[in-house]
Amino acid sequence: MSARERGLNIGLASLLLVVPLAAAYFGEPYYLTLATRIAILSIAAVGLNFALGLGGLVSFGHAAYFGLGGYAAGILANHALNGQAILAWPMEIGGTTFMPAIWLVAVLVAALTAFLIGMLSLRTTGVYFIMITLAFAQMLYYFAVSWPAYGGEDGLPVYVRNSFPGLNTFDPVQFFLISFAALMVSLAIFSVLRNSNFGLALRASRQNAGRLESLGIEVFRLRLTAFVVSGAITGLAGALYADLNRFVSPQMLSWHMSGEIMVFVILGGVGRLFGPVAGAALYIFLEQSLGEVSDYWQVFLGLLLLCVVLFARGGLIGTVLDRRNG
Amino acid sequence: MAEPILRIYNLTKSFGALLATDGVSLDLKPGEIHALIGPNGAGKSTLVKLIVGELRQNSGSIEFRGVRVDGLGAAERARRGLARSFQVSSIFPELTVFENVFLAVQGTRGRTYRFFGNDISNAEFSHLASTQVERAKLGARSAAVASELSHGERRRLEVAMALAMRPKALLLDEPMAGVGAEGTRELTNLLKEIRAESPILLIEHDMDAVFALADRISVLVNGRLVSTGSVSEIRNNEDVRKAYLGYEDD
Repeated sequence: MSARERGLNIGLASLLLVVPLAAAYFGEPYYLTLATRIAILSIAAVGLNFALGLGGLVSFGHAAYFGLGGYAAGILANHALNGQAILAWPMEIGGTTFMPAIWLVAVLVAALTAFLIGMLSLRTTGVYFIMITLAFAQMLYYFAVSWPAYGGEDGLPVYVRNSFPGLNTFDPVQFFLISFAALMVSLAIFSVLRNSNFGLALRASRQNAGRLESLGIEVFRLRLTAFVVSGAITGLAGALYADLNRFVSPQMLSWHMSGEIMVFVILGGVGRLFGPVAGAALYIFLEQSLGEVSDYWQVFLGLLLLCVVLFARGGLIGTVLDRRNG
Repeated sequence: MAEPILRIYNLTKSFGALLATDGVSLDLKPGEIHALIGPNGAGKSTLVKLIVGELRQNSGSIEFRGVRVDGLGAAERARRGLARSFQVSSIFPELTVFENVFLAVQGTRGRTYRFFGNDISNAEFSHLASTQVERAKLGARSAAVASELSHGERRRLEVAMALAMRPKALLLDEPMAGVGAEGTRELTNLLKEIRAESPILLIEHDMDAVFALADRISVLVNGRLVSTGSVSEIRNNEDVRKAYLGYEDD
């Protein structure tokens, strides 16, 4: 990463931290909620960026991990509140409202699901891979819709925000800080992994998979590992999102969500560390500003996306860096 | 005579009705350069793919360092010391020259699943990689992105990557393709150096290079091995001249 990109990243992180806190201080707490949403959606996109940006794995089903993380949080919290065990046999497992435990479960469930889906879908490439990941996510979506125990189509409310030791999670500032910290941690993980031996091989697999095999590196295993890490990060985002909205619905599992996560990555800059953050922030900004003008604001989003894909392949981050270079 | 490093026995591969490899048996002994020649479409590349495990044979066996490897995957064979270079340069275009070569070190040493930190700072590994970069005369280009290399430089990067694997046998698929007279001379010298470290199965169209380097030559025509012998035996073999060298047309 160039010094210029590092500077831009620090600037973006500072903006995301300072602007909402300042707004809250001056009596505009709404921006705090928006910034919290940006932070959480960014985490989801950091997860996808790992598979898509580094490994070239175009997963169109990352809503699966996002939604599963959300349902993990919602289901655990509901059981904790109504006192019923989730599982009575072979051992009794109850719910919890303890955030770190919920995150752990969300990450594990997402990782396990990514492993199973990856085992099957990574045998294909290209369009087939896109379609299979989409199909698996849609299967989970319809499963959530048709399973009445946890709200089915209506979704599952979480009446009380889960707890974090030493913090008051109901305070929007504190919940924002938790989300922001989680984003920074996931970005740190992304950065460390990208620069590791594993990251080098993963980037190479996107460029020339066959050659990697001839150097003694099994591409399938490499991709599967990356896919699991990717799903796990997105799962964490899902758990936070459930807490933000205090509500989980099948919508979190739908293909719209998969598309949105992918749009964040592409808008911001595929493979860039802060691409997901820039993309999610721009998306939320457009949603808020254009949403006021027209209910059909996504038309403009579509046009913008078209321009990015046609003329600015590096996304927001890539374009800004190029501009400053020239 | 020393035991062969690589022994191929009665290898057969067909694609539908086309018999691409038809009962080929050959071996590679320590210290030798064994050239494989044959007209276009003779099945040379198919044979290479079978040996390294990119294709699976229909029948026959491949023994490498005394062990059957024909059931193993390509990556496993690579880690055991079977290295290849590609006919059309196959590199990682967005990585630097050094990273390209370093991946070969990392891969054969089984160090890919290191998630935190990298081995580029490891003196032994980076020395191994930079030695091969220097040797391929790419030292000045070490930090360049591979997509910026000239054709000749890419050919040498190919060879450097294969050498960084510390191979026990080296399969070079037309390393001289399109590098010009100067490039051919450089590569010929490099291969002469390498043969002491690792025997080479050399697939090559440049007959001057083949005759200058090879200890033995095998001729492949229509998937069948028509002849194996020393340079002078092959030069004077009537069948080979007819089938491939085409001297009669001169």
